[in-house]
Amino acid sequence: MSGAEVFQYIDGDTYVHKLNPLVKILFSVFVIIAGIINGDPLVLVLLMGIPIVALIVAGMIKDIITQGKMLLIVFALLILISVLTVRTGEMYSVSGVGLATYDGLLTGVLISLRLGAMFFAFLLLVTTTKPGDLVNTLVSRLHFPMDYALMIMITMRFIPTLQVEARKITEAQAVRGFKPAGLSDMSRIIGPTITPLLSNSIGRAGSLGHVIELRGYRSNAKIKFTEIPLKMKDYLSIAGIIALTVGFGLYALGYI
Amino acid sequence: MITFHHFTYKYPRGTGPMLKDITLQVNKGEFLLITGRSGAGKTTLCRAMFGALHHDISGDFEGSLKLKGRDVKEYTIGEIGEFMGVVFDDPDSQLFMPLVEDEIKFGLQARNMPSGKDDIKRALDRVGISHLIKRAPHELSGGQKQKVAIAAALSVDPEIILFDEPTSQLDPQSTIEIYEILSRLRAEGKTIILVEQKIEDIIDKVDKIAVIDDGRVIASGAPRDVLKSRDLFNAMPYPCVSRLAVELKSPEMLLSMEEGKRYLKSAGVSLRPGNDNGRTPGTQDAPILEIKDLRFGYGSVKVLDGISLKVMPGEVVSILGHNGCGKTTLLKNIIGLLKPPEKGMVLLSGRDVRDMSVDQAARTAGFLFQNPDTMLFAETALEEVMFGPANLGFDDAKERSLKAMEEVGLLHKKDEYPRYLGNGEKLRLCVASILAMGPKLIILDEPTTGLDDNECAKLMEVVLKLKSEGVALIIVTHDMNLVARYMNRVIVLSEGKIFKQGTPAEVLRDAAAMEAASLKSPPIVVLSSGCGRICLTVEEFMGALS
Repeated sequence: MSGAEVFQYIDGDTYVHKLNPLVKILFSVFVIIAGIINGDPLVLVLLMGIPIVALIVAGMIKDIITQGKMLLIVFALLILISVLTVRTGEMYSVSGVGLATYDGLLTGVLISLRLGAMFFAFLLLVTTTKPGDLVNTLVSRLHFPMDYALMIMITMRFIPTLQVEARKITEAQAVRGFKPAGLSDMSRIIGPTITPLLSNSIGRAGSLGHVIELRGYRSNAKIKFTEIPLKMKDYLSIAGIIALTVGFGLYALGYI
Repeated sequence: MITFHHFTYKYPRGTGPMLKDITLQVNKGEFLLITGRSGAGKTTLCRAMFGALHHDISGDFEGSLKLKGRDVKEYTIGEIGEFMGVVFDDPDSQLFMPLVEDEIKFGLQARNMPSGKDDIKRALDRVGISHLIKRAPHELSGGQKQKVAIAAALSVDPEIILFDEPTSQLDPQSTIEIYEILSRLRAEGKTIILVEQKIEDIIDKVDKIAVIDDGRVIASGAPRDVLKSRDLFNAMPYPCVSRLAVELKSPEMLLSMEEGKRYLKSAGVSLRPGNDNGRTPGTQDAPILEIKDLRFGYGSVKVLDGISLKVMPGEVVSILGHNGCGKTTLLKNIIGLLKPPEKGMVLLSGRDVRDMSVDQAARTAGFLFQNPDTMLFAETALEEVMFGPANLGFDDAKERSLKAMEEVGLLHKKDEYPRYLGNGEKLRLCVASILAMGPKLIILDEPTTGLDDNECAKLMEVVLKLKSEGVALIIVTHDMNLVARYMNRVIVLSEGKIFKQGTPAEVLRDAAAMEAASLKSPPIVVLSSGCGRICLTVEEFMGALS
């Protein structure tokens, strides 16, 4: 397979892979909520660090590096935007020219760290949990509506297919002399590349609907999932997440 | 199991009925083959059988359709799915789960059936793919995806299995494997309905055949009886062996290659020896394409290992090879989508491709991707064709486009929406889009996938016209009849090297070359070689009778 497939399950047999999906869902929810309400860069670094360590344990150093590179560009952009837009606080100047303010830099760093923490927590969840098990847990334990769970599954299934197709379409138009000048040329890109991509997907949706129905699925169906049993390590991990939540709560309320 | 009684159907916004007065019966344990050209109504017939017409699409109905003795209206599509598994033509639109294992599990869970690991493995084992259990659909080949779709359809053990052109997008090797699965299911006593355009490899294994034309069943019954009809012979393309049976006035209709060989031997048919049918264009011009010792790899994986070849003006060259042999990489090197590394060289009209951008290369070499839907986007067919020449900055883009549309016989469709055209028309429109850029070399990647014989012939008419105008064509294909009938030269790629090249007759009779490309010699080559000469078409065979 050429090209990186984002947010796809990567099969493995590590400790992290074997954890019950519920543990990983709870952890992701914790990181997202803690990340939103917290404004301390050190805590945010910690929140980003835990999923990175877990991903290393799951044997995904390569993926961290690939995704990390992309994330660094996003971080740089976010910091640049906040430096340019937030002009309150102490001004740092070079040769008398005000370049950035303390508040601007801090805002940029905080937004980046928040995004990083959430990104790696989500990456951990989707790359180490079989999609089927994820949906099973969402529906059976967290009472998520089946229709939405199915939508998530179908979306995840078609991300790589669309990536491959988008590459083919770009090549097919390139040999017709089509040379858009980067993203700024969006108005010209839409017709020749997005139209075939969307039309093909819509065309596929019709028979996909028939297939799903033929396999016995009706909207709002009550599909009985067998819950994936929680093992000792899952209970321990959940206890760890509870401890983290309590610790974080005490810290947020100023007791620590 | 299934009974159509004077069944007529019109789509909600259709101009006329798509199915007309269909009366057809499928009995338990029967293997029915439904055939007919594109647009004859085969897919509509399938949609009727699994309830999509009545429960989803709606429209005007007359007559009746009964499934297992009850009217189709009395079931939901989900209830029909309990006793009927359906496999469609597009492998990608039937798999909706991120992993193979989830695909099977979903169907079992939706029907509250046991869905443990062993149950899933058992379902996959029925089609011999339990090793793919942990794979994601995008990691599978078309043939593998189709097998997953079959396993998913079979997982709830339906009595009837309906296949709507399951092999139309597959290579010959995968097609044979799918047909083997069908034969096994037949032996298990399942009722099978198979819709196919190309019937050569399956006709001898079915119990009954129904031929559809313009929405009507024009013939049905045991294949041996049905194919005897002289009217049918003139109305549809016959498998090669059956065509010979008619032409040679065999008392028995022939269906399989074995029967064909036996008959030719017993009837003492012999052919006059003739010279090898090389169709060299006889031009001494400079080559349009010259490849010198091209080597290419992705990382440490070597894909092309010293390819050298020339293509002359007016030549039609076919490149054969199994999936993954390096065909696509070679083609991308020719049109500059991939740049040859320091070693090796690709020259287009004498100029090194390395020194050209993709759009510069496009002025000399046009490339048509396998699926027309990857490029069609414009509001009208004319705008679609004008896109290329306009990108290249031609002032006369419109005139060029109109001329190209005329060449492919689509001028009358210039104001139509390209994506609504028929498959064959879409493909010819894509050819026009390339042609309008004025290339001297056109590369077609699997152009005949999913086309019926009639559409295929129309496309090849265009190819021959271009050839006569001095345009060179490279055609990548799995269709050996196409190779036999139209090519000047055939190149077999294997493991990144040229395994063999020569005239169609030289290559198609070479068992080792065919095996290297995972292909089979066309039936006429095999049958005629038993009679003392290699013929590439039935017409040639008949002309060479002694």
